[in-house]
Amino acid sequence: MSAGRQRLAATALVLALGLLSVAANAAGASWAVGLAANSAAEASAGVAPAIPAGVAAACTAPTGTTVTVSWGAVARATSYTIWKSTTSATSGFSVAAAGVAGTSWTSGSLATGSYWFEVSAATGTNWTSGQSAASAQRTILVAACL
Amino acid sequence: MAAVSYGATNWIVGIFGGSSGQGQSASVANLSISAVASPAANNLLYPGGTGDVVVSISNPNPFPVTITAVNLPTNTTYATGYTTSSLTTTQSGCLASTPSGVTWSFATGTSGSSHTLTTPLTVGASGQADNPLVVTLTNDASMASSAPAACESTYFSLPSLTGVTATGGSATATASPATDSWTS
Repeated sequence: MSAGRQRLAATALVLALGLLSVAANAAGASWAVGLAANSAAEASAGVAPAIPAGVAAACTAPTGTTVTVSWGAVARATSYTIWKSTTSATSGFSVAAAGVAGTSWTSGSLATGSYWFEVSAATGTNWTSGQSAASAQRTILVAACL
Repeated sequence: MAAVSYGATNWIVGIFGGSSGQGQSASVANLSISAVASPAANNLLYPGGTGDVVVSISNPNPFPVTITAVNLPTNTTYATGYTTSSLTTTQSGCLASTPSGVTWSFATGTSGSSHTLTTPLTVGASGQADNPLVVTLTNDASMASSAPAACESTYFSLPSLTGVTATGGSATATASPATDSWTS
């Protein structure tokens, strides 16, 4: 066999092997492959809900002993907590109700005295806003609300 | 010969990882998927909600590769929180072990569950346009309602995918940046 024919035969062999390799790689279906030890992806989180605004407390009825607290809706809030003080508009607040849905809440019957209310918002269990400014003072007298 | 083959034949391509080459031809290289901060996510994560995930997919092969599905880790494999989008300093109180409560959406209790992309993604050949391909996966991360307060304003590195279903062959590359998702 001449040198030229030998080169031609060698080239043909390489081509044939290449085609065999392609055939070995070919597949009619896809499948998932193993563990990706180093793949990564990025997401980011937002912020806690804003402090509720527009908090107001109103006597539910002039002759009653309950107060209805209302406030403006906060974006992405899933619940609200109502805080109550009998001390002043700036101190002595404790939780009156938690997990409140919606934008209003009515107290149970209150003892005689003066009351101030604040509201905080929550998204989920642990993301909470600060407490709002206090509502105006409401005073419960015997069978009357002022 | 290879150029002719691309148009006629498909290859199965994995994602780059510790198991490189497993069950594959040596002539086909794995894809790599990395985190990227730009473009910024449109939908941020909040407790009880979902948010966007952004990835960059690189194809080292001399032919386009089309991804049709991803395989997810379990729904108890959590993301790690970081203080900045560069994902270099972890956020105290918002780690995978805390846990952060952030997982891939639709992940199940079984590792490797397959989730089909709404639209197949084709990464261009090596050195060609749209490679790497940057993709925003809309609402494909989820945050538990119990996520810690420390996770507010945090950047997350999602846990590694366990695999992809990808096929090499002739296809038109998806324009980068792209948007896609899986919805079940």
